[in-house]
Amino acid sequence: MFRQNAEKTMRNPKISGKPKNGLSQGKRNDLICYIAFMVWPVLQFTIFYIAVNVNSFLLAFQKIDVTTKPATVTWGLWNFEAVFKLIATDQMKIRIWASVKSFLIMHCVSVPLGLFFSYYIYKKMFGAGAFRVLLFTPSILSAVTTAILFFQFADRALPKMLTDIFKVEDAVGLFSGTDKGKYAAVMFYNLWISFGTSVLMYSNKMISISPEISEAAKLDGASGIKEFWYVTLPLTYPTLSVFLITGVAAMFTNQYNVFSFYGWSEGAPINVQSIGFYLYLKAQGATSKAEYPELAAFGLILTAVAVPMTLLVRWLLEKFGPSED
Amino acid sequence: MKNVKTKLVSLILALTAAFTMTACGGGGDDSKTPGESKNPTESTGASESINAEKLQLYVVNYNGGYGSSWLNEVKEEYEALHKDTKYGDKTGIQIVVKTDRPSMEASVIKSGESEIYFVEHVPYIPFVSDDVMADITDVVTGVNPYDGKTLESKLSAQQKNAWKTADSAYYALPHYSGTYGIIYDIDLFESKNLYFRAKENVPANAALKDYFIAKKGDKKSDGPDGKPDTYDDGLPATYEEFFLLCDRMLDFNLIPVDWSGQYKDQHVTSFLSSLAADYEGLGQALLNLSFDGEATGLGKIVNGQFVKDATATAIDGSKGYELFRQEGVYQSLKFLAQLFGNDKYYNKAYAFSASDSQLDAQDRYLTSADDGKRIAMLIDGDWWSMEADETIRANEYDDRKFGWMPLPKADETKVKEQNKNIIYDRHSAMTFIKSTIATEKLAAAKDFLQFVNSDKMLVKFTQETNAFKGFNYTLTDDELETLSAFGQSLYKVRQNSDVIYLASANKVYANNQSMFQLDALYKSMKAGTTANYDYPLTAVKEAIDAKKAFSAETYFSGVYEYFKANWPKN
Repeated sequence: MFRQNAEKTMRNPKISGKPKNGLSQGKRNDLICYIAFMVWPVLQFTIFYIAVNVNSFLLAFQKIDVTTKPATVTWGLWNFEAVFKLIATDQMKIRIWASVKSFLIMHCVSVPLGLFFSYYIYKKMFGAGAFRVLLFTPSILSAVTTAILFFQFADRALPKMLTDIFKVEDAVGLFSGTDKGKYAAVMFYNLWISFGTSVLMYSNKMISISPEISEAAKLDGASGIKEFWYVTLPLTYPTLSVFLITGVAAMFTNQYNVFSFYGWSEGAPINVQSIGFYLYLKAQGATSKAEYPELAAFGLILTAVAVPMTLLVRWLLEKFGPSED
Repeated sequence: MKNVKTKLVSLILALTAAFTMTACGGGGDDSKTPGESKNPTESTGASESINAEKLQLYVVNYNGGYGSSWLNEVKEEYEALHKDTKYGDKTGIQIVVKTDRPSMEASVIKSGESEIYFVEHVPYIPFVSDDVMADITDVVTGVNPYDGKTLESKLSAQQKNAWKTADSAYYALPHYSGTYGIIYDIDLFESKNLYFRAKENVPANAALKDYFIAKKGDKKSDGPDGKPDTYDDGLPATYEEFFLLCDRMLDFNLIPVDWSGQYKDQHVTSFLSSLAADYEGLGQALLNLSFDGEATGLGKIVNGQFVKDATATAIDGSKGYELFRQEGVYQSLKFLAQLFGNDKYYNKAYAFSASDSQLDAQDRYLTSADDGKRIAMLIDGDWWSMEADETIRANEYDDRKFGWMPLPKADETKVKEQNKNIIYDRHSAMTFIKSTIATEKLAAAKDFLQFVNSDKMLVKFTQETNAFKGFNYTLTDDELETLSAFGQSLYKVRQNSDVIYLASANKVYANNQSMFQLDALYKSMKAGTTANYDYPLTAVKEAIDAKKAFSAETYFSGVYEYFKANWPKN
């Protein structure tokens, strides 16, 4: 009798929660909830990543004539020919060097400094909390706001201070002086503004390190520097390598906030113009779709360079970097 | 319970993300379809309630520089005029104005709420190709019920050539028209007698001051139009006179010329483009847009001198770069070299200051009358007084008089040859109806365009803004009196000018329009390299820093080299 009742209960979907199609009510609700959450980001990804990139790929092989209605599209490799010609010019070599140099400066200066400050904060040394707030404060404001503040400070307030306080004659703003000075100002801003984010990421990773490991290192007689080198750095390494890998991948698309300083004008000196800035300016300044194909081809060529570089850097970091174990 | 909480938190986060995404698109046009779905009190982005009893026309106006007060006047008058007009089951019309800088993406315009656009930098030919704009041929060629004229009759030959498509259709109308040039302080010119004396009264072996009138009432020179008793009498007729004027200003401890350091490239380069076009004259200057015809003024630098070609050069789309050897380009660069030949001619403190906006320069120009070294001339857009309105009001400068200086000619020969100015419009500002407007609203939208561009409304625009629409129209003396001194001065210059619009149906031009913007025409290859200057002032600054003189000849040769090397193939 008991067995019969139990079988009956199991067969009744209302009681067992198991519907005819094999999904329980709860699981079905979970699935609906999951789909409801995922449909929007998946749609966004499909349109704004996959479709955009497929379109960009196709554009690279097109020549568009907008003087006909509808526009005439012909297919070929002219855009690549034009881009290779462009890349060979001194003008573009300076831009490519600006991108590479900016990447190197950002990572050679920002990473060690970021790690140092993060370790300082992680170890809760004097003023660690204040440093954390101070370093992260600029990141709260929008990039354009901080760029404008910095621009006005560096170009107006600074020379005024130099003249009024230090009696420097003919002091000019950092953005109004030499091209090297302009580049230095842009790089300083980028280091300053990116510092908060990297410190936050590194210090959060460091905080997740088990205190026992740190204690064990201390008991083994490790000094602060040794603890950093042999314990903290290896355990922070996954975060660090993500920063480096994404940095390499974005080397030719990062515009280093140059647009926030110079806007639409091509008035940014050439040594400040990264490839990312150049492409953004050209794409935004294009008056019709006829001007996109060459830019798309340029983008495709840069992808062809960036992808193997990124994979190589990832392989090197995995092969030669410290292990968490 | 925990599961529910997790879902709730996730939902809140997802909604937050969704709102963030919505906020990112705030600057553009939304994709709501106007019309029946709206309730009577629904807000539209414009701060105006919708009256469901009336027909709505959604208008977007880019209000940078010229503002929107002119459109508000038009709206009031048009709505009053049509308050009893029947539009299907609706009575009366409501013009819903949004002041914004709308996206100029074809798909956004087609799917957006706004139906009538008043915007600048319109890529006319690509928009025709993408079917963005409604066909308004009947509006342009038909008799305008509001003034009895056709709008086509108010267009220049160049406008008609550029905008009339192969199937004789029009899709847009000009909106405002403006350019960069020199603003001068009439009060200062009058108080310091900075007008040139009539040639016959200048003594032989004259000292600098002898070139200028000694007192009010002295006979002035004929000015750049070469005619006596006209609007430009006493103003510098040639480049030489312009720099004599600068020297004279230095005698009075004035700063002759100022501009915005931040926008130096845009303002000064566009001004140079106007100088070059003015030198070439209408026919030759238009070749730069049509790429079709014979260029007669080309040349090259030989032993540091411009040597004109012995024969004319046939120009077509494939050889358009040859036009960058026009003598006008060289002459304008010589003007630039002379301007920077004396660091007292310009405002050294701000000429290259990256943070010195056009508003800063306007403020400085205006307030220099009361504070510091007075500035005599400003290089800016002819809409400057609208932008400087706040400073003018705050300092009670309403009674001060400013003028728009007609461009000086390269030499006396040019004054005799060509007494008309060339104005190179920089806006490409247009009015159009989007192609996807509801069929039942199209007739009303077309009627509104005719009203906006009727003679009376064109004058009203000018009275409101002291600026001009891109049509040929005149003001009566009484109407002219209602303008500011600057507006009157600008009107007189425009009446004696041919205006060139950045528009062409040529294939090379239409497919590469960003290459031919007014401030992009002076790119120049650096000698011996494959690098280039984007703007002449970059080369000027480089020369100043190196304590060398800017060479117009080297830069001119580089301009041709640049455009030859980078000439588009389609």
